[in-house]
Amino acid sequence: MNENSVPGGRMKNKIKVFRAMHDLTQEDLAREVGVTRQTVLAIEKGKYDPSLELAFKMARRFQVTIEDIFVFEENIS
Amino acid sequence: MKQYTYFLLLGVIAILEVGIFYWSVENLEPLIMTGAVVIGVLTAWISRQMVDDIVIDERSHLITEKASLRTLQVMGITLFSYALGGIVISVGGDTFGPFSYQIARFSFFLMFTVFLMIIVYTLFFSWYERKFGAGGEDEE
Repeated sequence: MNENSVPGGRMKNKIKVFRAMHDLTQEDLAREVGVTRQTVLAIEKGKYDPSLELAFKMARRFQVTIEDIFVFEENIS
Repeated sequence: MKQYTYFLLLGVIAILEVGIFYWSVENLEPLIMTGAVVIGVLTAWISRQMVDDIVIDERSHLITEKASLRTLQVMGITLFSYALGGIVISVGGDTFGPFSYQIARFSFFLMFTVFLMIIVYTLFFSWYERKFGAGGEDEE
């Protein structure tokens, strides 16, 4: 199991899509939500799940809900 | 302060520390060296607070936490096993050579350090457990 994955599922996100829609670079988004560019990159790649606070900041920046950006995919076995 | 300036300052502090170390060895002044290290670390820490760019965030905190825990585990086990081996050597007296007494003294010191580390860890653990909400009254 991936260290970042939750038992029974995995977090996916659409940050890259929303960034493109708002014409933002990783650096721009990182600066606006108060993290480093590496953190935005890690979230986009699914290697790091952001805190609830950071998820809210991103959702507010894109004026959508958290569920619009972050999706929890359950493992169906 | 820019991140670049901060790294430059770190370099200057490191060079100063090396200089003070050399001076302390030449003049046999251990206290000056110890004080210089503490002041150097404090200066570096204060400077980092003044950096405008974002260098530390929640992800870097997580990485630091995980790396610290692994270091503690690996070093704890390594030092503890080394100390136990040393104590076994000390029990054998001169069987293991003329330095058995020195090895024993060092091993007991090492063992004491490991236990001190465990005590400090336990104290921090309970502090953070209380800070993050454990131990409170249950509503039900």
